[in-house]
Amino acid sequence: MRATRAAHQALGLAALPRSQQYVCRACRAQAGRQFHTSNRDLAEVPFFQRLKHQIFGSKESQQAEKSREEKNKQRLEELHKSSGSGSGLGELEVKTGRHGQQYEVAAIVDPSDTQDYVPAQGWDGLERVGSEEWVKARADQGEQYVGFVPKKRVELSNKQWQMLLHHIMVEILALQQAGRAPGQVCYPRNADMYTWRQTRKAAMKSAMNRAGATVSFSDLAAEQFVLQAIPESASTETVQDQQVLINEVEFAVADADEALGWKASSDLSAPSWMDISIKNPSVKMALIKRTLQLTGKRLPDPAVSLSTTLADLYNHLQLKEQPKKLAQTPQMQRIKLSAPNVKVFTNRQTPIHKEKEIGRWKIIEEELVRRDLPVTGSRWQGAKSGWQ
Amino acid sequence: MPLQALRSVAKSQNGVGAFILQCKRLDFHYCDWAGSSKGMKCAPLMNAFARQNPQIEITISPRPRKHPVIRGTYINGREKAVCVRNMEKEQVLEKANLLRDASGEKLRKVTKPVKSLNESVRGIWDPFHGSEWKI
Repeated sequence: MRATRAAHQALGLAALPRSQQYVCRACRAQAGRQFHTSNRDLAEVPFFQRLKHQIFGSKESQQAEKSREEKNKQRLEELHKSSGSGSGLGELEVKTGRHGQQYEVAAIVDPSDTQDYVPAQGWDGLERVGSEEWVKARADQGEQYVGFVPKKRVELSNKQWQMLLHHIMVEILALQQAGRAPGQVCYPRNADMYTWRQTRKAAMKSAMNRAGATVSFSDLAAEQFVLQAIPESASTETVQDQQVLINEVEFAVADADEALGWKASSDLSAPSWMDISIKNPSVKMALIKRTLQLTGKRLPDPAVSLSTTLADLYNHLQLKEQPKKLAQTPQMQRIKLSAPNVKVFTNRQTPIHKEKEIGRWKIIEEELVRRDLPVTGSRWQGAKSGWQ
Repeated sequence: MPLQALRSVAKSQNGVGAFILQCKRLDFHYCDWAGSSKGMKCAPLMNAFARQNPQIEITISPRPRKHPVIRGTYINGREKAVCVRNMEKEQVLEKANLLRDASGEKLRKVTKPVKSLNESVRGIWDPFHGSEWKI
């Protein structure tokens, strides 16, 4: 039965079309756990025997423990002899591991021989293990961790996303044209070297074979400024200043004034300048990394892998339009003109609304108040039976 | 010129004077979020139905977190409600037509071929009526 089911599953899996390109790790592990053709009865060691070995130990493990104890005894005897002769005290044995690493073997201490051992009466003066502070001190030695992703996520409108992507892409293309690595765009920068004025005036153009893109600045000085602002190397000790990153986003998405002559399209569709190929993995990586660094917005892996142009990436980043409610659709707004017998309400209609419509509610309300009864809610008579 | 009388003769309609639709109001309730209201949320269908039935008062209102319902109100004071959850738009239209054509009465099995509210022309049978029997 079990083998039949496994075979059936295998056939089913083989017959299914591969609609999904990406399967997450957890799902793959789950599938692996469920799908196995081996029979439990055919295992070399029975299940309960294996469980017994795990809990109480097997013959081999018991033998290994015995030999370990014997070795320890031998070493203790050797220790006694060496201490008697006065040599080898305080020297720890050094062993070489499988991968060439060296480690010291802990010294064996016989408590019966140690004369100056005093048992502790309380916990004062002893090393404490296990507190939160102890874990912190051991883990990072008090060092403050500064993450790559900003703590605070930046919320941007669609227009601001367009402006930010334009800014980042211009910087990346400038680096590429200068023969530098696009990944340098994420290096920490100086506080006074903001490039948003230069990048906003720059224009991007897709290459003839649509494999890449080129950027053209208004003047050579602007290009030089952008390249100077981005450092060529960054040491691992340099910490990214969060305020600089926040300012970078704020300046890049600040409203474009007319003098700069660059305008973002306000509608949901991506503008034409976004038809730039980002098939180059280093460009795509730099773009996503810089976006993540500046805004904290993460994109799912399938979205990243399926994006081939900047427009695709923008479609994933932009705010999605809220689904419209039926009463707010233009067709329902117009229905009253074509059919005067229809009433369209945007909110739920309660029995109170029906009473108000025929003018009976004020009488009901007055009577309820006079009798000291609750006016609203579902406790009044006729709330559930409906309006006659 | 002598005056002539009108020549029109009343047509026989077998007692039927006028047709009055029994359904006076239809309430369409749906949920904007839930998927079971998918068939109900078809604006062109509702528009067409409302235009075809101008004598019925139609209200369309949301009922959040509930399945879609069409509720008919009839001139005999009764109400009929039909749940149209997970139905396609054609099925929803079918149910709306069903409620429109319903009389509002409770559903009963019809066993007699003729049903009338009129009194019998012959009157109630009486043993003293009819020809006298002489012994």
